Amino acid sequence: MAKPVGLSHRPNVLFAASAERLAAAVRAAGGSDWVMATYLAGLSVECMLQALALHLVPTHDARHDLSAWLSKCPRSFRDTLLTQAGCERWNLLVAVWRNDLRYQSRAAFLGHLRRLGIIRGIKGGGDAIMRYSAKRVLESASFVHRKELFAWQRLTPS
Amino acid sequence: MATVDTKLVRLLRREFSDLRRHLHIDRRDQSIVGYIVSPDFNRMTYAERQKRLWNVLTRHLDEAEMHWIGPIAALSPAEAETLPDGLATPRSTPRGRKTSRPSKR
Repeated sequence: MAKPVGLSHRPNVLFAASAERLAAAVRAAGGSDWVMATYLAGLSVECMLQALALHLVPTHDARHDLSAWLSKCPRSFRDTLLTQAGCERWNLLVAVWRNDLRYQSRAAFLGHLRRLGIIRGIKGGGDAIMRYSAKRVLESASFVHRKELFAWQRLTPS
Repeated sequence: MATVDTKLVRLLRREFSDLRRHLHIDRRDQSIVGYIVSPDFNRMTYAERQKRLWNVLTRHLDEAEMHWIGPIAALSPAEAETLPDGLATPRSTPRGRKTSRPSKR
């Protein structure tokens, strides 16, 4: 059910928030907070997807499905992800990022990664696994975010 | 004549075992975006999954049909289990085994 657009659902607000969340993700990774780095990296992508989608159609369905938000974005942006590098990174984000990561402890996050089954072959203990995964999510989010930024600039020329 | 989305689903079902899918089909925009789930993607890297998926698509769809294809994530059943839209539950399970739906937040 679509809801009226509130302050946090305004494209300009979401655009600014996306950049701030990505910067916060980098800071969290710098402090070895792998759970928060992963959560914030994905959140920055989600914020920007919502900004792009709501700029076209101002209805927010309040769900956290990256694919659903991508489907509402301009086609020109979606097409920029259609490279081997773009598809691979998008796939990783959809597979690993969850909105409820913010509720997770380090142990729960490690459990999440183990359940996904994507951490085979990583040497080291739990911290090494979380670091590896968080860095990949952060790199993927940065990649997609750059594409989103170009799309946003095309949508909102100043 | 089959529509592109019908042909795509038929093709994906043929090429990937126990396929489930969540595709957003926009006929006005001629666009298909979303994700597919198959145990075939277990133990595959994301690069390998995308390579396999795009090999299938480019081998069987013509240029006009490929125009419809947007980013489609390829997920293992374990990855799909925690997605918010309920694709976690398999259509059929062995007798006596319970399935759980993902918690919604």
